[in-house]
Amino acid sequence: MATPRPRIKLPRKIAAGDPFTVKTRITHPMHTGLRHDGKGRIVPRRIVNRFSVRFEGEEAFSVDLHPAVSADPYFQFTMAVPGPGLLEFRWEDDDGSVYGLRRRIAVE
Amino acid sequence: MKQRNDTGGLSRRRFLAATAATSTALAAPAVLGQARPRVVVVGGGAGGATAARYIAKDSKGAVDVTLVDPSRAYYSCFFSNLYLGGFRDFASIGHTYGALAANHGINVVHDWAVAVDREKRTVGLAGGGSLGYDRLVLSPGIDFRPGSVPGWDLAQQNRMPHAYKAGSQTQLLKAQVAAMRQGGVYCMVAPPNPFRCPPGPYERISMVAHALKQSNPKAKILIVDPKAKFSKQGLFEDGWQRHYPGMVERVGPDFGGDKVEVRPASMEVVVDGEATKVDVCNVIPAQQAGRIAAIAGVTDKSGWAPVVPHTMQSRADANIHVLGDASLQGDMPKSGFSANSQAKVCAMAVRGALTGSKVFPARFSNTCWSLIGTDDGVKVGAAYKATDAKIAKTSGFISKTGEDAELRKATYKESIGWYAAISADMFG
Repeated sequence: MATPRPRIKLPRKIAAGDPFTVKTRITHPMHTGLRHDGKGRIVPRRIVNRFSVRFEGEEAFSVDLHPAVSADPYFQFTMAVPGPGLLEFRWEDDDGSVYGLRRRIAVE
Repeated sequence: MKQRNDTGGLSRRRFLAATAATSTALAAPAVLGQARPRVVVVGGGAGGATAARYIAKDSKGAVDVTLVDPSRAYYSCFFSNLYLGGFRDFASIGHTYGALAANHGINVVHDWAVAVDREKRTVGLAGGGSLGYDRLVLSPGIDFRPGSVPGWDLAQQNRMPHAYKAGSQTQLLKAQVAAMRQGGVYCMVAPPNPFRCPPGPYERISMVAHALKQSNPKAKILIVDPKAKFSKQGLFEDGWQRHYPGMVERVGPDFGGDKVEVRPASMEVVVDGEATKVDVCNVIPAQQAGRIAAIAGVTDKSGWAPVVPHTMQSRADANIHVLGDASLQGDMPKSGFSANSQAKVCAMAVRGALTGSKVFPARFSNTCWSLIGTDDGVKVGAAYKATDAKIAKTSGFISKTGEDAELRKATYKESIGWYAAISADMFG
């Protein structure tokens, strides 16, 4: 399988204390473990089972994923930060892989 | 090249008329002793070639038709993706204008139309000649909007091909895909609306994926797209999952696909400020009507040429008709099928105006077929009528996800039949 590729989108300008929208997506097949391939064999389950976001080391958003979440899971949520800091995004794969992205946030 | 003289002297028409009495073999029987009305068609694609052929054929020589196109060989954009996918050879999408000249008496001029004098009703050619007309048909297709993809211009089209006017560009893109390193990235910068062939970029993704799956299965495809949605999206995305799982990633405007620039020297694509190195970069810029339409002064602020739906006449000049991609007509997509359909309405209107032949209410139709994988064809299409405001859709159809393989194969076969039919309809 191709390596999952995470993407995030943040506003260009973020003000301390003001809510802003975060969009995230990772390319991932999200195999449920129930489908068959072209030769009738079961395709083993392989999903992203957890996605979490930390700001300055503190968890700000997290979600547990289950089979039947469609391929390339997309999350959009709103958050606010008290000041500048490091935002870390983490996707955890059934196969043990972890995909991460970081963005340093400068506030106005 | 033939040159006509409208201001006096012995023009070809007058010469023909003068000699008709003694030399009947030279003259068209229907118009003995009178000047034939003249139609100049600029652009020899699906719109122009069809219009020229239908006007000449159906007027049985009563109208003098000149077709101006700089290319001696025409390579169709439609089906050029199938060449990229390895389903057609290059020669099979090439056509010449010989039969239009030989069978229909069309004066085929290989030159660029570079000027239009609407007062004198003449078209100026790059080679220096001038053609007089009673009706002018412009079917120039598209040109690219300068600056629409920062970093890209025509000087970069060898490094980052558009391949959106078929021919050497298509061959170049295919060669670049074939030469990609194992596991490399093919990037497409997709165009904003409106543009030629709405499903075209996504059929191309399918065909490139098909080629890469065989020669370079670890390769990735990245689509950077300024549009939130695209034609037959559900059908394509379903097909990519089935045929090319994990290969195609599309970055839409929600992830910065509308903020793209390219760096041809370093082969980088910059999406919303983040640079990615790619191996092949297919840049399809924003589009506008082919330049001669703007030179003729028939385009508006949109860059396209508004037309009267009943006749395809320009809203700016009743002596000029605009067909196909260049026209701003309403609901029809910019496609070869649409241009061919509009050309027949135009030809009927031109003949009616010049020879008094009967004119029927305008009816249009379009179908866009796309090939997603081997024998996996889909289509979208509609019927249209002319209203005073626009060409208006009356009914439509689209393939469904989950159709069985037989139906998809039949749809593909239907498209091959259509290609043969439209080629014959254009070139005789």
